[in-house]
Amino acid sequence: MTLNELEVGKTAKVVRLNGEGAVKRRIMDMGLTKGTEVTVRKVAPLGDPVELTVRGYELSIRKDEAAMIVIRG
Amino acid sequence: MANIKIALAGNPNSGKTTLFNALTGSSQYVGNWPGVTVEKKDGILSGTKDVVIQDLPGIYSLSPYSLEEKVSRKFLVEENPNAILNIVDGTNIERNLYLSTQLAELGLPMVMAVNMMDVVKKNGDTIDFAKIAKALRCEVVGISALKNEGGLEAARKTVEMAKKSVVEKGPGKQPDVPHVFTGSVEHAIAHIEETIQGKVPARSIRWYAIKIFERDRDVIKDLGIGVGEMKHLEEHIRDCEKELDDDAESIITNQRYDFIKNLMDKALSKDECRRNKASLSDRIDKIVTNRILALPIFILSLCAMWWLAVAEKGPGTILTDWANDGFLGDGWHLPFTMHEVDGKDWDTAQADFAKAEATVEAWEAGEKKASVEDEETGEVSEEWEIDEAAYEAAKKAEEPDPGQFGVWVPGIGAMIGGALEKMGVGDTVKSLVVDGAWGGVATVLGFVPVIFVVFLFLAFLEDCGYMARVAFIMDRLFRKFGLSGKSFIPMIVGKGCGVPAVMAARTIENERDRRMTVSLATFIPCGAKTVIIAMFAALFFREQWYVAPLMDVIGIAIIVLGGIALKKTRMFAGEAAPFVMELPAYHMPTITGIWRHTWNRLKGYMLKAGLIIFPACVVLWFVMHFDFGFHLLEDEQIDQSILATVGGWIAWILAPLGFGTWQGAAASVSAEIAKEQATATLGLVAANMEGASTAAHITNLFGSMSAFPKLAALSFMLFNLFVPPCMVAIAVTFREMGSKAWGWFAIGFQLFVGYVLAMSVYQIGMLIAGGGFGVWTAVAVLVDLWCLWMIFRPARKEAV
Amino acid sequence: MNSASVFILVAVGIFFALAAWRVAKKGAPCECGGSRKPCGGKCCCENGGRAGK
Repeated sequence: MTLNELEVGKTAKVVRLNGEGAVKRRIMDMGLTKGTEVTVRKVAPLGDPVELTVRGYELSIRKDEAAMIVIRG
Repeated sequence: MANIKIALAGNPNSGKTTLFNALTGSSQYVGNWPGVTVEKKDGILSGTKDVVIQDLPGIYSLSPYSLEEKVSRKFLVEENPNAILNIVDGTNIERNLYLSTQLAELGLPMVMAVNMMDVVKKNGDTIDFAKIAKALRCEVVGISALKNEGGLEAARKTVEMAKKSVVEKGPGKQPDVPHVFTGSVEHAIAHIEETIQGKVPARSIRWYAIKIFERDRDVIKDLGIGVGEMKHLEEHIRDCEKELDDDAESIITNQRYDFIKNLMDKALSKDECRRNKASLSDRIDKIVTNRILALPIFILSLCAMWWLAVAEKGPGTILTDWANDGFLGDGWHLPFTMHEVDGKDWDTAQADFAKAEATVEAWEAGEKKASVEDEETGEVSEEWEIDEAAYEAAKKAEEPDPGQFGVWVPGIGAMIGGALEKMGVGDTVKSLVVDGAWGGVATVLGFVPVIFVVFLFLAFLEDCGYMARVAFIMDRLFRKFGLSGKSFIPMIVGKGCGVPAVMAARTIENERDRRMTVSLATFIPCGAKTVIIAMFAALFFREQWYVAPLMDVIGIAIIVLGGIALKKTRMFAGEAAPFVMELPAYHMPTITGIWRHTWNRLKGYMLKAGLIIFPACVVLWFVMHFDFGFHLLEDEQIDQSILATVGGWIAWILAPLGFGTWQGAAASVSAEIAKEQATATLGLVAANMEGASTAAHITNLFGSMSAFPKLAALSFMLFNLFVPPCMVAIAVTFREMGSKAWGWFAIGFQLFVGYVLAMSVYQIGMLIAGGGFGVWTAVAVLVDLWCLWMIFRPARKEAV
Repeated sequence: MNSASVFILVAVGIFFALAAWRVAKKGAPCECGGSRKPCGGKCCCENGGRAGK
């Protein structure tokens, strides 16, 4: 399953990143790499973006970017 | 001895700017990196003459993808800084170290300053600097830039290291750099290093090798690595990729983070208890960014701000009235010193005398009725019949002496007028000073309390971190028209001044999105426009205080709807930009911090009054009191003045908007010098109107311009708020657009929006108020329908 | 015009000239609150930097 499908409050491990180029690199640079734990903190009032906890800090990314991140719950 | 160059590098939000300011103070120079719209900041380290601190843009990595990273890389590998000062956020250390490992691989002497140590300590965490220093082969110290602890020492240590390396530099000596990768990757890197020996400075050979491993196209091109050589290296790279089942870039990124994680397991100990407690930030966010509550909370905070600023009984209005009528005008009583005389208080005594004066005036004019007007609205508040007896009695009335009713402080206006009279200055020059120069400046200064409240509120919201949340909330709304929340940040900035708002669009990499943001950024009412809102709220909408926050809402609506419409045109259509944003934790803003921001803005505002408004009013006074033959005119002849004539040439354009007179035109055009000038100009051109105060004059002016003065006032406000901003902001718009054509597009778009909005409101408002249907009503309706179509039509299919 | 008027007129003229000179030399004052000196003559405005990354 992909990160955008993860419920608020749940934690999962990143298995793989789809996509390529600048967006993928940016997501990786921010710490969302294979094997990293990620928790969905909240989803914005209008549904998007999504706020995550990664490596001890908060990061917000779009739902369609979250869809590029394959996770295992 | 040549200059020492220190590169200051670190993540955004790591406190780099605070540190940079502390290290360089007022010696900063801000410009642009050549060829790009990325800001370049450098300065001299305090206490030295030859140490330059080069502030690099906040970056997360040294990848070749974004402008900021490219600019930083270029500086680090080509400009030969002597050392790096890497600032790291101690509360977020894993992610920050990701950049540090890359910086360390460059082989330059490096000092890592771990910032926010005060917060780290408060959280109960500890960081073992020695372990990190050993792992990354650099010096590590702890600092707290906010509390001004340790920053200068860190910088001096960096300078020492820089000097040492200059002395010790041997030809092609490879320094000690960290090895963060595993077996097969290190193996591949070693091969690459062999291949590029001699092509790159020895100290950075590892960094280059890793970049080639990642297949960094820029590096491969710059080093001129031939196709044949690359094929050979590809074999090694592909071996690794096969073995680790991932692509080269991901391998490098993952292994970096693995290395960091291992290091942190040894060097960082977190207080577990604390970590599990929901932090205060989270609790606040639960409410503030809640799906249902977030938008209403935002609008409510806007309303709260405006209520404080302009509501009739609110602090802002009380202070503004005092400033306008008392402090800057006739005078005021010190609070708590007022008492009654002869059974009357000051207000009653004044009112009685005004009535007496009115009686005398009316009788001598042969009238049978006398009346007095409300000072603010100019409307008749009382009318009574008079006869000879009343007249005789009224003639005897004496003007009450304010000093008898309490401690009276004369207002500055009264003092100036009085002083000039004492000096025996002629009426004309007196008018120039009192009505022209001082009058105009006083109008603008009188609204300082309103500006103060607004700026104070904004400073609080920014400093505590709420504004970042607002961008988060607005992101989806913005994504609907293809922009990201990044485009919203300029809007927040624009609440203070449009100039930095337009400049803030630089952070948007996509050119089309950036151009669109620049065109839309100034629709949020800025500080100067706030003055216009303040004046009209006080004059025409005292009971309808919600008109003020409505202007903000309209601004946001224009940005959203305008953006939607523009995105549907061929010029701007395209994919949404990626949006990855970091949310800083909430923190209680310091009083000094808020005060500093607010005071800076206030200072700027008042300085502007002296340097721009004052000269403008002097010029306006002259063109109002002289005709083209340079004859001095009497008050009644004002319609022959230069200003009236020139204003008349363009006034007809504004007719459909309800204020198509030379006065309306003069005020609107003068607003391009500075938006608040519109208020000053109105004060000046309305001087001939009936009424006892500037406020009454202006109210009556609008009464004379239209049968629906409140509507005309609303239309005037909308026009001046939403047409192109002041000249300074227009100049910045052109500069940021980079091309005259795009600059004109932005201006044209803004003119269109402001004009159509004002016209529609006035025409349709007139229709509703019973003013009948005319040509312009039809035009307004048609144009509005066209705009609605532009907004709601289906988006073009993206041509593949 | 009497001498007092001339005096005041000249005073206004001097202030006007001073304001014009200061604006010409240093540019319009920074409305946004920053000062110009650290920014090489342009309005740097604290928020300009903060609004960036």
